[in-house]
Amino acid sequence: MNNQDIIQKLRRIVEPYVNNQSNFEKLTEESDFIKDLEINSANLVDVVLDVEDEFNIRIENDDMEKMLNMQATIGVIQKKLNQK
Amino acid sequence: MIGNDIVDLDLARQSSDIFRPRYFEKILNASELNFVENSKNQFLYFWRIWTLKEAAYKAFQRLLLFDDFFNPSLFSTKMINDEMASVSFQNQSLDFETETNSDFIYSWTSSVQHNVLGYSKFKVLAKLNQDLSSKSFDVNKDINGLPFAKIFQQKTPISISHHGRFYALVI
Repeated sequence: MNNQDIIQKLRRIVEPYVNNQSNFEKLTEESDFIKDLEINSANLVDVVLDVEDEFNIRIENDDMEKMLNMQATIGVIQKKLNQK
Repeated sequence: MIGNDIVDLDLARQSSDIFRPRYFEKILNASELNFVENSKNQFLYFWRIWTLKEAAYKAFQRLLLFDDFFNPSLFSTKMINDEMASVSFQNQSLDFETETNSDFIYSWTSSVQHNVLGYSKFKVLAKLNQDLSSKSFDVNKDINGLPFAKIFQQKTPISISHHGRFYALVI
């Protein structure tokens, strides 16, 4: 799966948890979930679980650790898809 | 080292389904999971642990200046009684207090000097100015991104938590 496909899916995953719509409309690989999109930290868990369900992967807490922005999250997804 | 975290229980009910599969495993270590699953009120017990872990993250970040990361299971909570707890991370431990009522759960490091909770940032800052007899209490961030306030020209570390209806600040 290429990065653009992953970004499209990720955009739909994070949308319900976003508290800053104008930054969401400008979403890029640099976007930070907490600082830019203002996602509540309790909902970061939901993002991780939704990613697991959508891509049919399992993410250990060591990998979850980095999933605070689009770029790192795309990286974790790519890594898990390559291991499949 | 200071840290605090508040959860608005109404907002938590609406916006987080903590009982969805695998949710607890992402946050809790094995012993915490066991405590939550055997508690009479899993909802309240989980959110108490959550606020302790979040408050501890903020306090330990001041101590160790680590980069942001998301792995609450690394912070181990130990309940002493209904109000007191300790949280350990990398062989260090800090003491915390928790207030629980029907509206919120709020945890903070026991070592704080001032602890103000209110319905808005504006009200909390106004209350602090009154308590400290200062005029221009304002919130800033240092080069590490950690919040501080200038109180009588002195740069003073603070911790802020905002969730739903509530805003809380400790000094």
